[in-house]
This record gives sequence, structure tokens and C-alpha cells, in this order.
Amino acid sequence: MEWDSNSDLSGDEDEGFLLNDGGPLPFPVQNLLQTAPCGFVVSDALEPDHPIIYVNTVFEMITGYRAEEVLGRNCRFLQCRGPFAKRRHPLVDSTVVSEIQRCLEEGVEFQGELLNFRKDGSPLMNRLRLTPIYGDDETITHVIGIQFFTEANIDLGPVPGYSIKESMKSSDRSRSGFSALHPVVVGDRNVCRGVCGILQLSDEVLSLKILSRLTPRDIASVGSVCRRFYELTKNEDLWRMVCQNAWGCETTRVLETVPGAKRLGWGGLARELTTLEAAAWRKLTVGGAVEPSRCNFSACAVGNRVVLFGGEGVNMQPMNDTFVLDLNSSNPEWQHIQVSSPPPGRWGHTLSCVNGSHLVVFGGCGRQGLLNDVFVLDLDAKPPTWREISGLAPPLPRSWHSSCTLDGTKLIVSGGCADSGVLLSDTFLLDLSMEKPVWREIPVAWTPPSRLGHTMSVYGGRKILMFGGLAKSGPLRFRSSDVFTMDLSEEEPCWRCVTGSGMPGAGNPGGIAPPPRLDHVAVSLPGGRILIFGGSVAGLHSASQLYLLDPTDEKPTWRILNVPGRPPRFAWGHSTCVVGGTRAIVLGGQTGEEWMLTELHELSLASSVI
Amino acid sequence: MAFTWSKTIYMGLDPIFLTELSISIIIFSTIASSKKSRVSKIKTADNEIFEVEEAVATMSNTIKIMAGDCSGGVIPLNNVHSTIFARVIEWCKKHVDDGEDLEYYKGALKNCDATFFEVDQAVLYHLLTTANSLDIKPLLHQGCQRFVDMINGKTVEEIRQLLHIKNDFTNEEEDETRKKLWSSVVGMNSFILL
Repeated sequence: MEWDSNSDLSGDEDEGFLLNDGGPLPFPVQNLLQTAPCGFVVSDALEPDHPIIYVNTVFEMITGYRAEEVLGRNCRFLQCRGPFAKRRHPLVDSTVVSEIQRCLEEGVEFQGELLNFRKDGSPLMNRLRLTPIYGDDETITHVIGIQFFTEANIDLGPVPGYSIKESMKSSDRSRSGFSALHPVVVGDRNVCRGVCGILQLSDEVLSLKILSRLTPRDIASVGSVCRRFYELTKNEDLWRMVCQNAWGCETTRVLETVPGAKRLGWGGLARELTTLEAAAWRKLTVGGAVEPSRCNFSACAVGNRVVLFGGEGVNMQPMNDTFVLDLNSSNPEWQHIQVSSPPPGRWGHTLSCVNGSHLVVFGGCGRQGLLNDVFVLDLDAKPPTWREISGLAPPLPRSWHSSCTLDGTKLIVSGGCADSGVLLSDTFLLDLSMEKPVWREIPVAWTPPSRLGHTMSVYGGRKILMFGGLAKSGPLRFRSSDVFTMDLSEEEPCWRCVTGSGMPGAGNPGGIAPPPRLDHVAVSLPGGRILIFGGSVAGLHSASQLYLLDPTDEKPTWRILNVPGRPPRFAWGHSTCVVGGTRAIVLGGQTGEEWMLTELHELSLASSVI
Repeated sequence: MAFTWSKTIYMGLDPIFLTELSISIIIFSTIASSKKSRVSKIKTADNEIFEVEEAVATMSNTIKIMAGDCSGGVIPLNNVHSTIFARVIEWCKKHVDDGEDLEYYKGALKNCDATFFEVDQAVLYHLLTTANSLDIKPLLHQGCQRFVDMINGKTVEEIRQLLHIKNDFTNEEEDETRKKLWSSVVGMNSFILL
């Protein structure tokens, strides 16, 4: 039903009210309109109580009632003062009302003047003309009302029907949820036509139930809307709730341990982690030594401590010692940890953080071949202890697979290189919060090509993103820049291709994807974005260029991030770890081969004082 | 109430047991039928009386508590108007069997309840205040989610227009807030789209 409502201001008496072809009123309305702007109402005479089926914008503007509020109602509500009054106001002349009723019953035209009220209760004189419209069989199908409104000079006092229970002081407003029914105020008609409902809510409801559910970016916008919102969004507790709702409990818990986080506040932290305005490369020199020197070890952070395990020694022998670097101390230095019953030595394994302060090692290549055992290190035990987890039905032994931790308690491993060089593409899950953990393969109908040296990152709660690696392509292997995601909260999780190249049916890559690579670094940012850099990169590209992807976007697009500071020349996935969710610590990034672990490079995402 | 016993089924049963069984069935069905027809009478601020099924009315914790105090009489709601109350009851009738899971209601906001909240801001405000004072958590949750959805992803000016909020900053204050806007930060500009 389309109404060309702007044309009734044409002012020419001979022109009819323009209706689109096929409009619902099959009658001409010439001579019904006056030269001044007037309200125009059509009601359905065949329905009980003559409900309104159309009002024009002049009606809306003058009475303050929007079309949605009045369609379906009888026009008599205009005789009630304000939207909540149920009875006709006593000053409305009841003889005129009876005259209207008589005319409608007899099917003749009515002309007269009647007192009406706007939505805000102010009085209007309505010079009204009601015209019945006859259908084909002599019954009245519609009644047209034309209203010429003028101001009525009557002082009526305050609008009844609103009870203000408590005082309107803002302190009272914030104490309880809703203290009063405020009279609704129609804003300046020239600027905002509508009523502002949201600002009438109390601070408590606004903050706890509405603002806390917005994303950090939205809160930043909301803070610039008006003074009240500006004040509300300065609140640290609100920001903390916003961060927790947006990033999850696990991430927020980790961020609380960031040194300098208190000084930055949750608002500042949210801003820096979203805009990445404070991201910078830094160089760190630490003491101690990791000896005998090695490569292909694994590094992972627990709180602010970096833990290093295993690796391949100079004689290619697998090592099994554990080192810890405490970045919280004023002079951090590598310390060799004496542990009882360390796992068998290995390289090409994965080390991940679980259950808050534990580290779990899986797979790798040991003295006697590939491994598929699981060991957990409790760093806070005295002395720190490695404990074997005999999980039932373990996956195939492998090295250079990828791992990640879901919900802080579940270890996920995928792909890698099995015996005789076969590449794998399976995904296994081990729930370490259970008494007797059991390995479970995640059944999927289709897997991406098998690969090693890829990364798996967790985002958006229970989704994983797989990137890069050395992937199988027929009889050959190529470095990949494909992105695949899987939502583990689904009933039947499946791999989906996000951006990339060469895959049949691949989505259009947005932006320029990072050059294909393996053994790179993937950092999960709060809010779901993934930062990629480093690795063994095809071609002559710099390994330290940063690439950013938001898989939750409608159309995920790769973006390049330029940050100040001197980046490392190399960065490897197995020897880089993320501390406190905001600092990526790159070990041995100076040269590709000799491992100088006293010179560290750090990509810090938030400006925290070390 | 009349019921017939099938001779073949019950022939083997002890007559005393049968009598006890039939009495307990009569009692049980009387309770059941009276539960079905129990109706709450609620009077709104403008003296309109609503007769609402108890199960529907007690979705409001406030009404539930007041019903206990009034024991069968009319429950007075002094700060709820009938037009709003009618809408709230319409919502409650729809959701009487839907339980307490707030996530479900958030989802329902996109489906069956989508049009319920497409109302004038004043009505939305009154729905929220009523849901709060009547303590109907799922309705309050949905109403607030509606505001969240309206703000989600919008620019500052769009938020003002959508929610009819007047810009009450002075020019100096507005310059300050503009500097603090995240999109104005240099770091964002380093997201070079190649």
C-alpha cells in the first residue's frame, strides 16, 4: 500500500490527492483539500469501531502521534488528553461528538469544530470535516477525515495520569532500577521528531543491561553521543564487563595479569587492543643461558613466564630439559629447572598452556622415532613436575603438527608429519579437565589438504582458524597461505575455507594475503582477529611483515599492519610465544641458525610499562 | 465426573483398592481442572481490570509475590498503565511455556518477537520499565537487547538519530570527544588496504 503523502501539500484545490495506481481508495478526492496543510485520516467503515487505516505526515507532525501508534484505533483517542488517558477530556464538547455520531449513522457529511489533544497533552482546535465514501452497493466503505488544526487557548494545567513516585534527583535514579514514570517529552520538533526513550532509563539499567552488551568499538562511539553517555562510559567496571562479554572470560583473565594493565585501565586496554595504535617492536636483553644450545625447541608462556622445553642439539640428539624465563623479575634470566621424571627428549613437538598454569607437551620426534605421548608440567608445584597423561586412543605419532587450547582445558592437535614422511590432516581433541582423559577424533566429511608446520588459533570462543603450513598437493608439497576455520560449538563441525588461493570453490581473497609460509607465528587478538608474521616464507619476502585478518567479518580481508620499532629478521612459530595476551616474544630472531636466546624481540600490542 | 471401568481390565482387582483408586482419581482431576481455570485479577493504574490465567500472570515475579499477599483478591498495579500492561500480557501469553533461558529469548528477538519491539521509543521505554517493575526478566532482557541491536555498529550521528538523542556537548567538548574517537587514531590508519 503506497501513499504519496507529500503531495497533499500541493495547495491546489482542483488537484486531487495523488494516489498511486492501484491504490486502495477507488474514488477521487478533489475539492476535499484546503490550501493550508491539514491532517488527512482514512478509516475503514466496514470494520467495527471504524479503525484508522491511514494518516498523513501532517497529522503525525501536528498531533505528535506516529502512524504506527494510531493505525487500527478509532480517531476518538484525540479527544483524550495524552496517550494514556482513557476517557474523553471533559472540555471536549459532547454535543459535537453526538453530532458526529449522528452524521456517521445517517451517512451524511459532518463539518464542525472539536477540541483535540496532541500526544504531549497540549490542546488543539480541530476544524473537522468527515466525508463518508460509498462502495459499489450503497454501503459506506470508508470515512475520510480532514482536519484543520489550530492552537487552542485553553490552560489545562499539568497532564494527569502520570504519577511521579519519587524525587527526580539523579542519585535516586541510580539507586533503584526505575524510580518513576517520567512524562514523555517530545523533543524539539525541528531537530528530533521522536521521543527519546533510552535516556529515561536509570544509569543502572543502561549500564548493566544495555551498554555492557555492546562491543568495545560501539561503547567508544556511544561515549561521543551525549554528555550522559560520556559519563557512563568512563566507568572502569563497565569497560571490564564489556571486555569480558566481547572477548570471553579466559582472555580477560589472562589480560588482568598484564603489567601496567591497571594503569591503562580496561577502557585503555580495549582501545589499544582494538586500534593497535600502541603496537611496537622492542628488543629485550636477558640474562642466563640455554645450554647446551639447540634448535627446534618449543616455547610457551605461563602468566609472565616463558617456558622452553626440548629441542634438537648440535649432534641432532633430542633434548628433554626445561628452562624458564620470568619476565616479571627486574633482571629476567634463563633458568634451568630441575624436574623429576622429565618426558623423553624430542624436537618438533608442541607446547601449550592449559588449566591456567600447566603446560602440555604432545608428539614430536624422539630418540626412537615419532611420539604421541602427552606430558603435563605443573610449574607451580615444588618442585615443578612433569606428569604423563595416558590418554586412551591417542592419535598417530607425529611431528611438526599444530596445537591449540580450547576453553583453557582441551588440547587440540591437527596435521603434522607421521612415520615415513606421510602428511596428516586429522584433528584430535583431548579434554584435560577430566579424570581420565580420552582422545577423540573430530569427525569431518572433508578436510583441507594435509600439512605440517601450520598454525591453529582459537577465536570467538570455540572456533579454530588454521593457516599456512607445508601442504600436500598431489605428489608435491607447497607452502600454503590458505585459511580454514571450524566451529567446534556446532553439532557437526566442519572445515570451511575462508580466503586463500588454489582451492576449488575458495572464497574471494580480500586484500593481499601473506606470502605462503610454514612454521610462522599466529597471535590471537582479543575480539577474534589473527595476526600472522614470520616463518619460512616462499620467495624473498620479509618474514617480519605483520598481516591481520578478522575471520568474523562479513568478508574477511587481509590487512598489513605497520608498527614502529626494529622487527626481528626471523621469527619461528615453535620458538615464539604470547605472554599475557599482549606481547609476542620471539626467541632467536636475529639469525636463522645460531640460537642466541639472550637477545629477544618483543611485539607488544598494548602500551604497558615493563 | 463419570467414567466407566472396563469390566475385563478391572475384574481381577480388589474392590477396596478399586474404590481408593477411583477416589484418588476424582480428587486428582478436581485439582487438575481447578488449576486450569485459576485466574488472576489485576487492576492497572487507570482502574482497568485484567483477568489473566495464573500461569501467565505469574511470569511476573512481582505479581507472583503480590498474589500470595492478596490471596484471591484483585492485585493492584499502581504504576502500570493498561495499554502497556495489555502488551506485556500478550507477550507473556506467548512465552508462558518457554522457560528461563535468556539465550533463547535473545534468539526469539530475531524471530517470533521481532515485531513486538518495533515500536515507538516511548512505548519501548514503558515496556522496559514495566518489565523491570513487574520483574519479568526475559522481557527486560529482550527489550534491552533491542536497544543493543539498534546501537550495534552505528556511527555516533546514526546513534543520535536512531535514538532521538540531542547532542548536548559544547563545541570544545565535542572536539575533545572527536579526538578520542577510535577511528580518528593514527593506528587505525595503518590498516592499509592494499
